[in-house]
Amino acid sequence: MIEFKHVEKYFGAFHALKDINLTFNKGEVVVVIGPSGSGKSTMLRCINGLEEISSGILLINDLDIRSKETRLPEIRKNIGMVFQHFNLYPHKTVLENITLAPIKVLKKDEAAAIKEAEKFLNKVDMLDKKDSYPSQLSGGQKQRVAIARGLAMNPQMLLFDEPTSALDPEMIGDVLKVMKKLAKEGMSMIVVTHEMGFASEVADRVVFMDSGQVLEDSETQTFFDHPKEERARQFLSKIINH
Amino acid sequence: MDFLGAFSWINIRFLLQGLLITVEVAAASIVLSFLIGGFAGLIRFIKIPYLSKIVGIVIDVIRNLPLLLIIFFTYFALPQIGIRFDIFWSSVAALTIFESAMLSEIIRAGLNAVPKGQMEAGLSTGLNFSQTMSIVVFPQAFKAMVPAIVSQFISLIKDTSLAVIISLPELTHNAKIIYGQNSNYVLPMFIAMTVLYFIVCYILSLVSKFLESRQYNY
Ligand SMILES: Nc1ncnc2c1ncn2[C@@H]1O[C@H](COP(=O)(O)OP(=O)(O)O)[C@@H](O)[C@H]1O
Ligand SMILES: [Mg+2]
Repeated sequence: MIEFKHVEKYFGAFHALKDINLTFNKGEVVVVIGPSGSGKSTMLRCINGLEEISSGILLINDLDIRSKETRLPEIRKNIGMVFQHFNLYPHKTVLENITLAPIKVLKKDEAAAIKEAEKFLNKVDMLDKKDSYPSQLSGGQKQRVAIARGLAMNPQMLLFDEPTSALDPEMIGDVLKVMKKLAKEGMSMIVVTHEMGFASEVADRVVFMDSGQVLEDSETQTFFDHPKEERARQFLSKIINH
Repeated sequence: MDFLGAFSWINIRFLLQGLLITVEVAAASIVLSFLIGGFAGLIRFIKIPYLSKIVGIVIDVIRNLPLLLIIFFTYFALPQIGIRFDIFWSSVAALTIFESAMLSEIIRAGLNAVPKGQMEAGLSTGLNFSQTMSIVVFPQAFKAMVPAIVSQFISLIKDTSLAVIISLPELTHNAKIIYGQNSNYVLPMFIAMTVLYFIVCYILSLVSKFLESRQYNY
């Protein structure tokens, strides 16, 4: 459903993505790993048009993201995104954070949107905080609300950009638990993360990026047992040993 | 000395008429400069090629001119190129030009202070740009901007007194006429102006406090 063909991305003169060729299929859970600055976020942000690709072809459900007819809001409402720093709306309650887009974009009536939102809050175990403001929540709670906000659009796919990197260690587990549940229910997910336990448990594939390139794209088992690339091996031993 | 004579019914009425002009000029300028300044601030915030740069330069020029010069400009210079306002609207035009430039900077700074992730979060849920601006970004920016905007409006009210130079019959002008007729009235008129300017500006600062307290308690 998502296809990168020879995608290049420049920030000014800086070459951030180099000849990216990747396919993400429906129902797949793909974990993307790689050193900081390797272009993982940029690749992810190209998918929902937060970054514009410089050349190549990026197809989202067979729609060319660069074609004139493609409307980004249409693409975005089918693809949820969960950010490292949650990006909840601080001036809205938990419930309002979740119902905003369904009401404004999907034109749901408020009562139906609230009912749906409560269902998703229950799923991420945050229903009791529905009337709180984000500032009253811990990082792990905020991230679970952010996941519910993504789910509320009933997207075909969820993108996660280091969803646990800003969390205290004791909160990571709760967020990962929710993500694993989603993965097992068949949600299509692309997850940038350094959580190798999560990767080996639920990922179908692992993509390893370095310096703007995809160096490896393998089935999870293969990747962990026999990483093809020396740099992937080094990276793995670094993050697993620390 | 005849201090109390300064506050004859006729003089008080004359002062209050001046105050009314002050408030009218200020109110018209506040509304116009909020619209124009808001628009200019938005243009600078969303960085439209060329346009945002040009607007930025114009704003910088205006912000670095004395307001008095702008008042002269709208009253004496504009008629020379065929744009003619009466004294009232010349004053409003001058104040609007000046305050729009000041406000646009406040508004731009307020918008810039909202973390980029807020815009990205709104867009990535499928909201379009204007929905994200109006529902997500602007309310957060506004909360931070209220004190600066209100203090700008308070200076605007005080700045209306500069229009005395083109004989706008506002508070300072009328007070000047009264003490011009009797030098015993100088002190009473200064007291009267102090009290009246204070009351108007203080009311505005109460509005600011109300707006701030009414904002979501997040
Ligand atoms: N908006 C931007 N402008 C300029 N350079 C950027 C921008 N965003 C990212 N980069 C650069 O692109 C490279 C890849 O960034 P990123 O995709 O965030 O890496 P990762 O998520 O793997 O850490 C980095 O060197 C970063 O500095
Ligand atoms: Mg990143």
